[in-house]
Amino acid sequence: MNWLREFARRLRMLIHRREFDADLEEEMRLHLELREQEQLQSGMTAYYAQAAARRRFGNATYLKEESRIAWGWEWFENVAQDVRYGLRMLRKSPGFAVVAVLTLAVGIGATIAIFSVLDGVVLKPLSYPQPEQLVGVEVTPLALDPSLRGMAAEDYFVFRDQSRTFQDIGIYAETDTDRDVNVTGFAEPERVHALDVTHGVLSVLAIPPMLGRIFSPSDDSPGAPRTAILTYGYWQRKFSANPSAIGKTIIVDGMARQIIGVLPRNFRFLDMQDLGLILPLQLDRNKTYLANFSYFGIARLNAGSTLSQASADVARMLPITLDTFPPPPGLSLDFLQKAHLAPNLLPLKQEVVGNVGLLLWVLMGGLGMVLLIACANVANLLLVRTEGRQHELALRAALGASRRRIAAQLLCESAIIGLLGSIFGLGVACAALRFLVALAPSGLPRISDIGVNLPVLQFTLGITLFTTLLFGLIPVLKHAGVRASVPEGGRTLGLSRERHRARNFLVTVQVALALVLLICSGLMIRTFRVLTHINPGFARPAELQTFRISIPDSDVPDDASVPRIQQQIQDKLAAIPGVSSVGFSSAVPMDGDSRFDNVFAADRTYAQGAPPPLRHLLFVSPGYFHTLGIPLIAGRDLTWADTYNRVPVALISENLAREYWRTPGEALGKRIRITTVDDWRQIIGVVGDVRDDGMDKPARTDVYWPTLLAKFQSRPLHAQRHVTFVVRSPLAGSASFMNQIRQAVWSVDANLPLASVYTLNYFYTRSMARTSFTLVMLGIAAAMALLLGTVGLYGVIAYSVSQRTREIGIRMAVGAQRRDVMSLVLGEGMFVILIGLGVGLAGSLASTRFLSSLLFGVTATDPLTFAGVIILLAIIALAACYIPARRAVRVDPLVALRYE
Amino acid sequence: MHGYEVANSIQRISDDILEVEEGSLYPALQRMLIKGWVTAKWGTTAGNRRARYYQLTASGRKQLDVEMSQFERVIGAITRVIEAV
Repeated sequence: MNWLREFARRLRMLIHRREFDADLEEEMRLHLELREQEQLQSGMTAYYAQAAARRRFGNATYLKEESRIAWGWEWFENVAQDVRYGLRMLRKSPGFAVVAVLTLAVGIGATIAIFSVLDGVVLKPLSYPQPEQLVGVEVTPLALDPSLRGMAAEDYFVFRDQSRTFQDIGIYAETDTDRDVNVTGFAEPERVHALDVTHGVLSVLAIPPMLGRIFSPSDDSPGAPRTAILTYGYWQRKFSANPSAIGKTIIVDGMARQIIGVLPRNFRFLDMQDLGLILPLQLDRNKTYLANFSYFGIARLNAGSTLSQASADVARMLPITLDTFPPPPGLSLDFLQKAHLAPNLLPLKQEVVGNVGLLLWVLMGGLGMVLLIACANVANLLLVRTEGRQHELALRAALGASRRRIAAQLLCESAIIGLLGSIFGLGVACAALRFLVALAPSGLPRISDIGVNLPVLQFTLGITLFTTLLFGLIPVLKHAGVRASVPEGGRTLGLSRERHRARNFLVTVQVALALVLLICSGLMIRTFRVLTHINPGFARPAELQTFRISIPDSDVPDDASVPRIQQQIQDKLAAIPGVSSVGFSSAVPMDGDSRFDNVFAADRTYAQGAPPPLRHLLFVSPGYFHTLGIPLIAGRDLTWADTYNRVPVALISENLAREYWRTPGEALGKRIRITTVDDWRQIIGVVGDVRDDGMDKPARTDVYWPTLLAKFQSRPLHAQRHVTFVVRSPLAGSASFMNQIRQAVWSVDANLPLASVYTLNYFYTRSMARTSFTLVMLGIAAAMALLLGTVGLYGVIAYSVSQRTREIGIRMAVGAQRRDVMSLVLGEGMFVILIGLGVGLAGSLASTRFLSSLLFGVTATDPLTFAGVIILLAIIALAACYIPARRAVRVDPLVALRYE
Repeated sequence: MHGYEVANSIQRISDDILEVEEGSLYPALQRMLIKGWVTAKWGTTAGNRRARYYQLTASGRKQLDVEMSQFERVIGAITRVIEAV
């Protein structure tokens, strides 16, 4: 505790240091006077008495200083002095201060903004207890398609009962728009986003409910009373946050369910948006057939178990599932064994975040470069300023300031600029974040986790220190060693290359970095152009209004009448003025819905158990292709008669026709089916390919079926109850048009809610959102780099010209032509630009490969982009040099010589 | 005692043998203040002038004992060395 008391004493001294000085002064004066008196009494003259007293006392000033230093606050006083001085210097040149602080604020702000996104999305752990134990558990049929992942009910049962590495495991149902449910009983029917889970899912996440309870094993056993859990948002919206909601009944898809719990406000299921209801997934072990991979698994590892141990554990259990459960009708066990099921486990965070990390790191790199350029600019400004203060520094050195003291003072001034820049930068970042989040591709995960929080502030502090040192050390290194001799008269005699080297180096770096950023954004522009010029397979998506309608079993129990209602809706919609065509389908292009199955062709032979390839399946109405503008290449479209009479027909995409039968015409009349117990279906038409998976992916091979089918997928009758309607009208996207559509739908059935209301253009632009986001962000970075770089280059050349005014004057006086002067100045700029471009070119070649996974239709070293950007940058840079060069040419020799 | 008196008493007690630069007393006093070995209080002298009076604290006295024994050990050692010669 002694040191604490000692520190308290020291602190008290610091606070009362003015009083301390006065006290010491008084004390010493008393001492001197008393001694002087004593000497006087011993008979000395006044003059000698005083001198003797002083001699005995010693150097009072030095001793006073020693006494102060003893308290250990010297550094503090120095810093305080430097800060005061630095602030005064900045106030004296507000122009410099504003430019330097703003430049930094923009650079730091942009970097912080991107870091916030990176931190929220990629770096921050998931907001569940012990998130590192959470894994996504899936199975992949390696022999069929290694990109597919899923869990089946039998895997869940076996993993739950026999795993040695999982604390607990749960599965949840596919979470596409398909799982929206109709909630009725309130004023208007509503589509609510719902999630089906086994009881393990919520307990694996370890989030306790805010009210009531979460599911227990009794909720998801078959035949148990139906229950539901509300999310906080839905509870607020529908029940006005009333706790009495627990125990109430809610009608979901026509079935009454009791509300048993409400989840806390901060609960999010992975990255699911707008989740309203969580329902128990009641799987019946006795009715489970193998290989229905329509679920996803989530598990919590035992403490101490690793992901690879869990993978090995799953690999051990997979054969057990095949032995325990029967294969579905029409599929042999042999087939499943040949599919080569393998474990596919991922840390849960990786499952949520996906591959967006790379994109964010690329942007982080880009904005880091902008920050470097901003630092170079500020360093250059500081260099020029410090150069102007040579006299002041020399004077200080002459008065005894140590090298260290001068360095500290220069650094302190830089630190003030750095700190101000960061404070404003934080403001810039907050504004930029709003813009970023609004602009981010809708697929950007964990967007709600993004914000300015502690790690971001720590990063800000780090980046402030880093940038301050970066631009602050350069003038220190160059000028702190100033010699104590003041140059006679202070004339700027010519210029030494030495003095310009630092500035030219900084500008070279700026040009190089700007080139890298410009080339990166150039490549993104080319990618975007390629994407937008590819034919997506459908026409004018902005005119297509889409929305989903689901006809529940409870409303229309008879499968066969479902298409009648759908056709009635289609007819009502077609009657709306301005509507040119209407169709519907189980999914529309790029909406993310994907349904695959193995498709057998009658004229192919398949080795015993070797599965045919997976195809993308869609269930469409007559007129769907016409409405979307998907061309009919051969054969005919479906008719309503085909649908109602359950005629075994199908259409396929052109790429599938060519793969199997060489030409679309040849494919007509061929027969296909999905399982060996299905009826064969005749191909009646071939339609154009659709890039359903995104513009940068090749079109899938599609098979289109009618919406009512007999003996399909091992079932006697299949009706497509969830469909997306597509309405072509120039009014698509307007609210009044949607009102007309709603009235039309409700005139057929007033209990049908409309969900996922978007134009097809929404899905189309969304499919390119990642590219356009990268493009915009890199574009902004490149524009800032170009602006800062150009300003920096201009500044250096202009300063050099102003320093050489005298030299230029002399040159002109002795007969130099304007052209000579012009080429002198431009030559200096050219030198810097050429080296910068060279370094930048090398840097670009090294760095664009990080972009390559974001590029499409253009290579990372696209010569056209490289050449174009280099020429563009060279022209802009030369223009930046030309302005000061022109001023140099206008120098009047007489004025120039008299100037000093 | 205030500073001047301290300086005088050192000189007097040591019979004018120890005549240090009087001013260096003050930095030393500051260091002792920091350590808490002495406290300072303002008072008035006999000549009715403001002066800062220093007083040894308990921990100062303890430190003095430590220093004394240390000093005695060193002196003793030196004496023994010299006597042995």
